[in-house]
Amino acid sequence: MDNDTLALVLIFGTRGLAPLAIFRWPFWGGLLCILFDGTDVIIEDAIAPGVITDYYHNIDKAFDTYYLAVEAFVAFRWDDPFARWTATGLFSLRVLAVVIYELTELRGAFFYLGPNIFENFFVFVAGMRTIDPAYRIGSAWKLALIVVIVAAPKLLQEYVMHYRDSQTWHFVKRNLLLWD
Amino acid sequence: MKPLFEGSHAEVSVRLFILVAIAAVIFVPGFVALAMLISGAE
Repeated sequence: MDNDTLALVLIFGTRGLAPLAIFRWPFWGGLLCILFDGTDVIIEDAIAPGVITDYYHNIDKAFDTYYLAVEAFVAFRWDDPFARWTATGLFSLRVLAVVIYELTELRGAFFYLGPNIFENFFVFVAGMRTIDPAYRIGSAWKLALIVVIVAAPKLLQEYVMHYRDSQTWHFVKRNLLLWD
Repeated sequence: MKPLFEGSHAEVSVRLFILVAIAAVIFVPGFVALAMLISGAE
């Protein structure tokens, strides 16, 4: 197996299979998906530089939407209405942003319309439910507080990634990991 | 909400790990983005 094929098998294998874990272990499966979402560019850089560069945004967006849809499916079965309907609303906004981006190529759609607050919200609620299966958000003001806390860092991240179009991984690689 | 420090050492460790993981997922990308903004990275 040459390096290009190996990189493709690793990227498609990890990103294709990890979301299935969300059905059984929502929190741990969600973490695994975030991990593999970040490692696809690392695998490409380390094994076969440039192998998916031309198609990266399309491949990444397809796999992101796939694992977020699995998370939304699981969230829709939560018995806490605050968590269930907030997750459903945030996921719907995200999908709308993806559709608008695909139709218009306006990257700002992610920032203005559908920042991926859903993922942070899902990880928070799924994590709390893993700690305590009886966990409920319980009130509107607690829900508002949670949404503000999970949304603020994500809005900043989306602004840098999609509005300013900066390359997060290349910044981390050069400045934090000192890998060049 | 179940008390955080109730149960065996392993159970408490898992709960603390989950809390740290939640915080890392939510805040680390924000900190990186902030660092990029401050440094003026492209």
